[in-house]
Amino acid sequence: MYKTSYYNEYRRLIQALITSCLGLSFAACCIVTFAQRPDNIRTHHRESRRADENNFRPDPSLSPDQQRGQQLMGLYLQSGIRKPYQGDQTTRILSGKLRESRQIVKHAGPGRERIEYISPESLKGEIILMNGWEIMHYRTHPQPKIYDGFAPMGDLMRQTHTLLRDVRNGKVDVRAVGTQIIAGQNAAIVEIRPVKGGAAFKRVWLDQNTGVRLKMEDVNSQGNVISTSYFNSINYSPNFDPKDFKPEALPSVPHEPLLPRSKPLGSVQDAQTQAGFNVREPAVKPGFHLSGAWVVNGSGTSHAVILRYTDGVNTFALFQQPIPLRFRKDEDHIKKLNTRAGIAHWQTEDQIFTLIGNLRRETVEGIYQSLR
Amino acid sequence: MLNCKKITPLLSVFIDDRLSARDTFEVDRHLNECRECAKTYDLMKRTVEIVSSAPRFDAPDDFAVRLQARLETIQPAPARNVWLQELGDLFRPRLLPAWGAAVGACALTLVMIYTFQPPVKTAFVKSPSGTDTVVVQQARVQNVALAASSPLEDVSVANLAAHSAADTEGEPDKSD
Repeated sequence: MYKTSYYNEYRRLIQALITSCLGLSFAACCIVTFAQRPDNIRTHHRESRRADENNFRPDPSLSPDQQRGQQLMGLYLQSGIRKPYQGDQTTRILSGKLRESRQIVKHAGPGRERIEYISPESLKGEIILMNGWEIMHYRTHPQPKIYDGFAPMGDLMRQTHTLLRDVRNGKVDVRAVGTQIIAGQNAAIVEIRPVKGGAAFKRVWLDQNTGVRLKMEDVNSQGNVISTSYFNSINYSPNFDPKDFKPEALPSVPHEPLLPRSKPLGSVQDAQTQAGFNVREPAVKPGFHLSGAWVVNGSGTSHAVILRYTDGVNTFALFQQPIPLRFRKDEDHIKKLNTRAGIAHWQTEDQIFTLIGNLRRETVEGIYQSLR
Repeated sequence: MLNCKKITPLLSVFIDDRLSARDTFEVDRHLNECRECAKTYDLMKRTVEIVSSAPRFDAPDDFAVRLQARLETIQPAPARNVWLQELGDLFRPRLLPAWGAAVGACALTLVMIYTFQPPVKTAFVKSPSGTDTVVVQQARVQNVALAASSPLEDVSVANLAAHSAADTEGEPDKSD
């Protein structure tokens, strides 16, 4: 009697173990099978699921071109940035001397992009790789080097949601101003302006079917186009090589940290605590606010701090680094404001500043004066 | 105290009375204690005495001429051997500590050169392009990464701007 009961319990235990093992094996097979599927298939599933979520309702009190602009921006921010594609792109900077580059862009989803430069000669061979959690910038000039770090996807999604919210709330003015064929696709032209903030704005050409951004222009406060980037051709059914998004497939050259692999800090005080020096906060125009701060390794041994500001559309970044004591008394190192092609830099008695962004001269002067 | 191995090469100089006072004392003491060396010394001394007491002969008149003629027929030793010998002399045991010190100093200098990074000056020196400081150049590269995280920025524009900003110093800025 006792022996039979013991045997039954033992048999039940064995049965339970076998059932668990079979279940676990089945789950493992499913995971492995899903993980081995090509990226674009997975992205496509996510994309089709999210396309259904594209429930952006424009404000009916707005004009028809504003409503259409909001609809298109919703399509771009909810579906367009997720759509995989490969295209041949041309970029031009029109302020100052004309400069042009041509590159192949492989886009596998938000924060997953590979840019391969084919011209000019100084950029040829350069690769920018974003694989979803880090950016690796392989530069060939002056010495081959990879700048790596940062998690662009998290920050990109955060900024995308913020922009979508600002478009909904009317903090960012968007309106459709026309249509045009770009790279063989039917594109709608949308102008994006901050309601408060800078007078500069952006003009984008969005594929009306997919929401993909086919062309973009930066327009300054005087209405001049200062930079543009557009696709000459685009393929929405790309076959990416799995190696394309693997950092280890990049050339084997020395690495240099670019930005920390952590989320941006939320305030200047947080940056000051980490950096260990007096971080200066610039006086910015109404409408601009801090959208992120980073503490990075500066040139030499000290830290540097990056403060990024935005008015919802236009962005500028202020880089600052302390000058060591033994250089502070040297009057030769105190330099006045020097501006050119979207970059301003100057040195005070104790710090060195670099400002990057398309700002009006008066705005740059204002920031410079507030930090002296 | 000197041993037999060190005494033997000194014997000839000892016989010629050209040793230092200390070495003379040492050799003299050793010869009193070591029978083998004393024997060698006696043999050498007798040889010297025999040679010095041998009769002298005058050389023939044409001896110098014939000697010169014969010397001219002798081929000099190959240069390679001389060179190797000189090289070998450089590494003779007595100089090895000096060589060790020199190699050590060179290694230390190389290590210092490779590990030394001017901590501060790099921030103020010109970049390889010659128109920018390293700090500005670094900021331009970092700005490319910042552009990657914005849905309204274009990475390609930021990168082209980063590359070309160094060439635009002094140009009028149309974005004003």
